[in-house]
Amino acid sequence: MRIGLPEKFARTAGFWGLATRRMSLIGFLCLFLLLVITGGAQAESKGSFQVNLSEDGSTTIGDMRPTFLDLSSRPLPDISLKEVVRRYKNLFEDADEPAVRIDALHRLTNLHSTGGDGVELSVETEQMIYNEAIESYEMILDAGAYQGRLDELLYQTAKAYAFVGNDERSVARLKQLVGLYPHSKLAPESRFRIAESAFSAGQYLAAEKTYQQVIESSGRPDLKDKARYMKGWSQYKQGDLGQSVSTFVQVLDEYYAKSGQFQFLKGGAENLVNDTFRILALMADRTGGAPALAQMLDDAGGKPYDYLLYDRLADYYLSKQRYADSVAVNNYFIDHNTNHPRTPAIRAQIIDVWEAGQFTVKARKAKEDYVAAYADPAAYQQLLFDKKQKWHKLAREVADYQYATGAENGGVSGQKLLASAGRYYNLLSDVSDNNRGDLRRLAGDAWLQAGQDSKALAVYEKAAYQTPRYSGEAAAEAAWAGLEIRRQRADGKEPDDKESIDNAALVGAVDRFLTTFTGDTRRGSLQASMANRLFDQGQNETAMRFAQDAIAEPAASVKERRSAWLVVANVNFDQQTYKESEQAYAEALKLAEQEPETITTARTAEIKRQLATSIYRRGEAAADREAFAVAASHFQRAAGIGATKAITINSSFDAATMLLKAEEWSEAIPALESFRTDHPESKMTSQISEKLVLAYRESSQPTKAADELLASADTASSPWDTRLQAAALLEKDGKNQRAYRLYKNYLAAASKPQSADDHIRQQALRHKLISSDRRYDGMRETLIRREIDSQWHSEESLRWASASALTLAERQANRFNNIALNLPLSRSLADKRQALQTAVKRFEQASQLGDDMAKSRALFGRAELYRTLAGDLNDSERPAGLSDLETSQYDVLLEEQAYPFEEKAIGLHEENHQQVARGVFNQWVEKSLAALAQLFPARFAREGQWIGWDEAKEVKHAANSN
Amino acid sequence: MALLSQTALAEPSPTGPHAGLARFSLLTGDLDRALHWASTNDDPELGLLRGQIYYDMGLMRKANTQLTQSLEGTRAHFAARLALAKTRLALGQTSEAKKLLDTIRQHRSDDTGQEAAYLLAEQARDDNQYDRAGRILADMPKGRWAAMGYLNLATAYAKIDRDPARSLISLRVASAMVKNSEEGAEGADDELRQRILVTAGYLALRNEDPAKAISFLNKVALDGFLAPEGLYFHGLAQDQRKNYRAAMQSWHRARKFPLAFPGAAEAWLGMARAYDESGYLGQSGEAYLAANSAFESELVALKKLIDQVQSKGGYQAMIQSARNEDVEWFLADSKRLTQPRIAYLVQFMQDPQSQQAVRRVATLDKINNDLKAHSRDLVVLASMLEHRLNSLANHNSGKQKGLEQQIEKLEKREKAARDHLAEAGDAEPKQGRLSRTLDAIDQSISVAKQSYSRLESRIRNAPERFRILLQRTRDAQDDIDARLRTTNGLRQRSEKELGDLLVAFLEDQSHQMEAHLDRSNQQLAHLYEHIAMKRAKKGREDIQ
Repeated sequence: MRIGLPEKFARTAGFWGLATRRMSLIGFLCLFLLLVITGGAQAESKGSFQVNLSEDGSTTIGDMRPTFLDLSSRPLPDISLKEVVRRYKNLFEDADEPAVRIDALHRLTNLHSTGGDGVELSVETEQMIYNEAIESYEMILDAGAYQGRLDELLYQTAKAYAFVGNDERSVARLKQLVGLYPHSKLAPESRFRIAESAFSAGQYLAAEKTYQQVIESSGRPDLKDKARYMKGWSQYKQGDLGQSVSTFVQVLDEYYAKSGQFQFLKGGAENLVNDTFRILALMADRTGGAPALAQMLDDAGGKPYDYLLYDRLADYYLSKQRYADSVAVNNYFIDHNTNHPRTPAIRAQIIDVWEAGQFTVKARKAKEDYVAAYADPAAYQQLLFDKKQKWHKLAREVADYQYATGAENGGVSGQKLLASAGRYYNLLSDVSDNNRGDLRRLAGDAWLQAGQDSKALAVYEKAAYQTPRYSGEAAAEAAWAGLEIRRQRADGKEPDDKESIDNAALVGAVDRFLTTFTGDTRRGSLQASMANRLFDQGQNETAMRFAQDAIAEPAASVKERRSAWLVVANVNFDQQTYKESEQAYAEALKLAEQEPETITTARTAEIKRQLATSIYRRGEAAADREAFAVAASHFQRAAGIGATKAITINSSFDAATMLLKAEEWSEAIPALESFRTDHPESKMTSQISEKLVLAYRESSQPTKAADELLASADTASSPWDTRLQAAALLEKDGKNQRAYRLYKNYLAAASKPQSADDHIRQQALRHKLISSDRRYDGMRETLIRREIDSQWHSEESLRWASASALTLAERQANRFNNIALNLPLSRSLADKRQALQTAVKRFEQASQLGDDMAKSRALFGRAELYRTLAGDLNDSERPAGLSDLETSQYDVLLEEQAYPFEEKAIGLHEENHQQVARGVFNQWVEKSLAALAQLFPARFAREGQWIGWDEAKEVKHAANSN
Repeated sequence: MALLSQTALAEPSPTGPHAGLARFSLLTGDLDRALHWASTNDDPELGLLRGQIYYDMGLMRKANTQLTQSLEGTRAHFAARLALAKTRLALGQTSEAKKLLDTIRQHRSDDTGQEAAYLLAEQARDDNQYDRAGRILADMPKGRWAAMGYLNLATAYAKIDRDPARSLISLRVASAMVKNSEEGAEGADDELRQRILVTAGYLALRNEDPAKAISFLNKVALDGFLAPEGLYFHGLAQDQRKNYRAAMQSWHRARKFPLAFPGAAEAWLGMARAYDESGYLGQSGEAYLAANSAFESELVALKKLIDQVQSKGGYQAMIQSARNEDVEWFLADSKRLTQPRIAYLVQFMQDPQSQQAVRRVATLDKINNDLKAHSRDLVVLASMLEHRLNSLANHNSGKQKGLEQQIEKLEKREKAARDHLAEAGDAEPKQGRLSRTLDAIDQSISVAKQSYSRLESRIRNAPERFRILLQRTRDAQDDIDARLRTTNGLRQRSEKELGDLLVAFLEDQSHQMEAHLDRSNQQLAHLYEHIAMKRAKKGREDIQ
């Protein structure tokens, strides 16, 4: 803040406020305080004060700590101008300070003059207030108490008189001022007012002279300019055109020099300069238009602002609707000042003039001239900012026109217009601050239509990628158009120049598009199509990249993603990375099913086929590395896809096979069964049974395996072998009866053995049946017979046959034993004999087939048969009625009859006993010996001394020998 | 006065008890008593003292006559010569005074010489001979007188120079001349330093060098009565730097001082203006209204003070109302500085003429009181004398007779005892000691008899003596009454003179306050105008 007039306090000061400077508040206070200070140092000043007002403990101002001061925006008081007026009135009436009173008055008058808010004064009130003011001034003057300067007071008084309309008194006061204080700083204004008064009164000569005084006086340069201007008018009014022109040109010279070439004209000065131009233009018109003006300027020695005068003259004609004249003035200037910096503005003005007259064609031609004149960058650069802007506007207009017309007309002429439009758009785009991108696109469109692809491409890409603040959809469109051109080139379209575009370049361009326009909705389509395009060209890697990008692209449609997935799948399939290809096909299939309307059934089927094939290939791979379970799983999935029948069948079969290989029986069985059910017609179905048998057998289900075998036995190459396998399985599962029946049937059906094995197998089966179930006891005879008849034997078969013979022999022996020899003896004896013979025969068979034991047994059995017969004969029923002699004779007879049998028995037992000599000794040998002891006690019932050994005797013998 | 006393001390002192007493009273400011002692005889030394006392009392002509007469033919006595020079300055005899001062400063370099040089420099300054004043000051030793001289010279330069360089240099010299606290600065030095700082701050501010102004003003003490002025300038300096908030801090502080002090009222307006500058127009308006209110109530307070001075007299209204007869009572209690009455009194007392007027009334008051006390003592004495006289008149002679008889009775008994002892002779083993006791008793009785005889004589003469004393007392009473009348008359005149000075002073303060009020109202009106215009403009824009 300066110690002076505060800025705000001057804010409402008007023209008359020039002399109302008052001492500012601060200035006043400072002066007041200075008076206090200067009286300060008195010799008699008293001692120090101990004033304690430093409540915060600070001792000096510098130490003072700030206290909180509330600074907040309070609502402003609702003060009307009327209230302000009332306050100024009160101040004017009540204040003691003359400066305050005068200030109040000036404010008051200023408020009244600005008016508004109901503070306008009625003429009467205004008169009254100014009368009062005049009174006040006069009072201050009379009182002599006015501390200010008297010239100021006179000035104020004159002002007051002027306000109340008493110009005469006002001028009188001013003249008084000028007379008394010719060098007062208020004198120039006073003289100016006096001159104004004279001019108003039509006293032009007097006015001219007084204005001249103002011009010559010192101070108030602002008034000097006005005075010079008014001097020109005074001369003009007096009819002195030559002098007047000279004076007005001086006015212009002055302002031109001090207002920065008319750049900084303020308020009234601007009007004044405008008026000066206007009057000079008027005078030029009267003396012959543009050439006259040129002459006028030549006379004045040429002026840097000459163009303004031409301009004003042109304006003048325009205002009179003399369009051609106005344009003629402008053209005159242009012709004589081609490189003048104002020429562009004049050219622009020509357009305005024609437009003002609604000469459309001429206006357009003028515009084209303007645009063409500065199309060259060097010429354009010379333009000032606003003219550049003008050029922008016009170039746009011209380009738009040419574009529209060219497109409409077509043909060579149309292309020419389009090419020109493209050029202007392009030029515009380089120099415009805004819409650069749009302009470049337009240039691209125009050039494209003009057949200038390369230019179009360049400008499209410039729009898309090198235009700051040009982004989003519009930039993407430009880039897309560029891509389209590149694609066509890549597809072989003939370029308009030598540059050709290959795929790599297209890929680069696409990448650039994708990197730049991350939000574009066509990204998916672009990526997918690029992926397919490149895949078709065998560029798997790049194709893959685009496909993956398309997949990841949020904006991609289902169709686009499906397409991309298929590329991914195909590439992987080619590379035999079936897992990936499967996944990709699956994704593609999912998308196909998601929007089935976007794809043909055949295509979907093909995807399925490819999917299934991929999976099948995975199964094969797994099988190769013996991961059978995994392979099975893949084959099953492949089958489950529901692709072609062949794939399904093969997959199913291979799945089952793999399950078997993987020993996953429980899974293999249903798989095999399903296959047989699902594909009965398949050739591979015949292999199922065998696989099932294996599966059943391996999964401990022998009965099912047997059933499966039996079911297929009829068609088997050797049905009985199959059945026997089944029987063995049944037997294993405890289903013996079924097995035995099968054996029995087999034995029944079996032909004579053709081989030892055959024989042995049959005999074994017989033996099994005989030994397992009484119902098959009858087979003993066959067993024995076959053995006897066979040329092949085994130890077992012999043993089995021998045992059976013994069994039968024992049975016969028992029967024989049980046949009592009753009377008539012949009959019972015949029975007995027949039984004896049968038994003997069996014993003999047993002996024939059997081993030593069997032989011993048979010998003993036979011997006992005879012994029993002998005994039974002896013990047979005696006929009744015999006398003792007869009885005795009968007994002797019987004994005689029995004796050979007894001998036979002894002989057989002996034979049996004699086997000892061959080293055979068993229970039967022993039993025979026992029987012999009974039969031939003298020989056989002896103490075995001869073979006994007496230890005591031996000792004794030993002693004796010594 | 303290300074003058120091000069008195520096001189060879008058001899004799009266001179000593007179000098003591002069030093302690008890001028009437000093004059009493100095008037006891025609000793020329006492004459010199009388002259100085007259000067102190403001009796310039008498002082002039007395000092001229006493100094005639002498060479020394520079303190008295200085008093004479000052007397002549007061009487407008400047050329004689200057000659005297020049002589003193050439002969003495002590306090007396410095004061003389200072006064001489001040005369040169009054005559616009600044160079001469500067030369005189340059010859002076370091000290308060030189500092004051330079300060006044700086102020004089400030009045004529646009560039404050000369002023600021003078102020720097002045500052260097004052003793600082290490050098045993007294209160007066401090106050002088404060004044130098405030003046320097103001000058820097006037030269639009706010940073320099702040550097000076920052050192101004907050506990002196120059604080509000310093704070106001400090605020202005901050304001010049567009540092409105800091300015408000200073002005806010200054506002707390009574409006009587320079700077306080301006700070009120400054606050409002700072709110305005800071863009808080609402608060600015409130601050102007607050300032208005403060100024108006101050005007009421001033009016009341004027009324009181006019009705009760200046001394009673302004000074005695504070229940202390000491002229400098108000210096003791700083809190009272915040009261308008005291603040105005402090301001009023800045002027030596005011000090003289107050002192005069105070002195007369004291004399008056002393006389009244004497008068009261005399009344008591007179009544006592009268009482005695009456008691003598009613004196009972029987009582006196009884005394005489009692003494005789004792004499007889003493004699009888002595006889009895003589009879006992040597038979009494304690004869020696008893005999010495009787001797003593005999002596006492003899004294009693003498005393009784003197009493009798005095009682006979007493009434006459009392009558003489009583008459003398009554004469003294009359004399005191006459003097009381005289002092009362003098006091009334002095009181009126003081009252007139006070009223003039207070009215001047009222005018200043009214000027502040006018300014405040003016600024408020400007502010309201701005607000209303803005509102009107906004209203027009809204309509458009």
